[in-house]
Amino acid sequence: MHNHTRQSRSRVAARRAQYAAFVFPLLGLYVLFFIVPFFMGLSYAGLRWDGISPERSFVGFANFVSILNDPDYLSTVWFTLRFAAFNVILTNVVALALALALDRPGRGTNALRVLFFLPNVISALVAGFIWTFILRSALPTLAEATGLLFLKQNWLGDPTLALGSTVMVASWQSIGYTMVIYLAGLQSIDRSVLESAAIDGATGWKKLTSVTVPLMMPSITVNLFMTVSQSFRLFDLNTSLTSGGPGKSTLSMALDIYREGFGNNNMGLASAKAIVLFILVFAVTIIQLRFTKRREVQA
Amino acid sequence: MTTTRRASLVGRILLFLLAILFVMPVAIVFMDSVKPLGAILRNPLGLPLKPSLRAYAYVIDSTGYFTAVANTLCIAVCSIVLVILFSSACAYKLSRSGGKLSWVILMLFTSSMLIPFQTIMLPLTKLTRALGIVDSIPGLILTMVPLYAPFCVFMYHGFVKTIPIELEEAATIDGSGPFGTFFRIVFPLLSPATGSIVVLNALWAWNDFSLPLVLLQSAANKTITLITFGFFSSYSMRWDYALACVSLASLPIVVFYLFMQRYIIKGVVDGAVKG
Repeated sequence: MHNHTRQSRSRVAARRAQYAAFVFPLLGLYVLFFIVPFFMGLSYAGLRWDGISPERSFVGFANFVSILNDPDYLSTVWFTLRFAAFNVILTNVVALALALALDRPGRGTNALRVLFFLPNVISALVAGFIWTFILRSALPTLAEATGLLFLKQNWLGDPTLALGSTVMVASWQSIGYTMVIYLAGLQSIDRSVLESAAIDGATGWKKLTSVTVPLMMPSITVNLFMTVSQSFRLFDLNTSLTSGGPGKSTLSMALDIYREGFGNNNMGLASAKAIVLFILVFAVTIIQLRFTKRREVQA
Repeated sequence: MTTTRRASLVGRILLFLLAILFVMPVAIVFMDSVKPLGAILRNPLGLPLKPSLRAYAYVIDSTGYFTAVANTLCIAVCSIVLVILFSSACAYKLSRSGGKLSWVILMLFTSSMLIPFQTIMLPLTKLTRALGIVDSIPGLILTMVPLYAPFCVFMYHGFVKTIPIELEEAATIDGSGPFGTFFRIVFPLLSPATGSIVVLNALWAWNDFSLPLVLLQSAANKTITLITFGFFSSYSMRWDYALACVSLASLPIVVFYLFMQRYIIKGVVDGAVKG
């Protein structure tokens, strides 16, 4: 009895030590470099501080009040929201259409997948630079050569067109990724379910909306989640394509945080903006997940 | 019958045309990067008459390209090794142990997907400065690991469940310790997931911009994205140099992709399914 308890106690200790050895290295790094900065940011948001000098003053919610009354900041938020909406819709609609087209029997499906996915492997920064060249130089030259003068717009210099260009390039990069996931989701649907639906008279659009889409809900959930969270993180592309311009008309919230912190040396304001971004992402993501998770159907 | 087959053939051809249009911007940039500036401005779609690597030589010279490649490769390899090591071990224990603590830790890792990087970006620079690891490649690698790992933990977590626990029990009976069992029995069986994680992490590490931007400063510590950014901003009107720079940054990763596309796309799908 006595020996038994001592043995099992050391065995429990050994098990706990094993658990720690496997789990804690990564957990420790994660807490240190992710969780701790998060809380640091929360504390900075209540300060007036340039981020460098030792003098800082506590100002409570003043930073939040100030940014929410700042028309420049509000237009940044509005730009980010519009960009997110357009990007998510465009990417998912096109990707789903392409996935449905590729799901049909036919030659070269893999080659098509490789081609559509290619824009995703280039960094967003480089993608922005590539399209800067296309939109500022190649396309205008082409427009004049072919006489298709409607192509010769100020794609990056006009605020509305610049928003459209940013959406277009972001979608260009995400469509392949999103399509591949939709394709996998489509291919996981049991063919017999689709066939029996067809026999019951459901064809085309009806089959798509009543049968295919509900059965694909898991991949829709994942894709919506990814495109939404990526849209709010718009930073690299924003830097290279428009740099937030003209003026600040295409400035994303993420780039704005960087500029406020490193450019304006305003750590308090930047941190407040960072918190607002987090709240926005959190809220939108949670709402989106609850909406789509509820609609997931088992075949 | 024939009408349907012809319709689907037409459909395929249209899809291929669309796909080619899709990759055209990249192809045009690669093609134009060997043309002189005048030719780029006059005839961007035309084939190069006298392809020249002059612009490439200039970019390599003035950006320290090879140093940046070495740095980026080093960062990629080291972060991949560490991510695989830590996330597989962590996911393994979390998956096998179950229980409340493991669930809480998994939820904690989920927060990485809900908190945008920019929210922690500024405090992270303060922290790394305080720890003395700012502006160093090892410091960057160390910070990168916990940012890339959560996704990999989820991938491994689902995969571990598919490995029959009897194998580990047999190994334990044979006298194998916990680490031995993990490395000799479980980890080799995780190789499909590991393969996907390697290529995905390689992509992320090569293309990462915002993390090196805030953590690295000196000229010796530049990554590919940083030198591309620096160069392009100064040479935006010299398209010949700018396109060579962009090509130098993306050719390696495009070539990598063409060789590894099966694993990359598989990794994307697996990550989505398990996520």
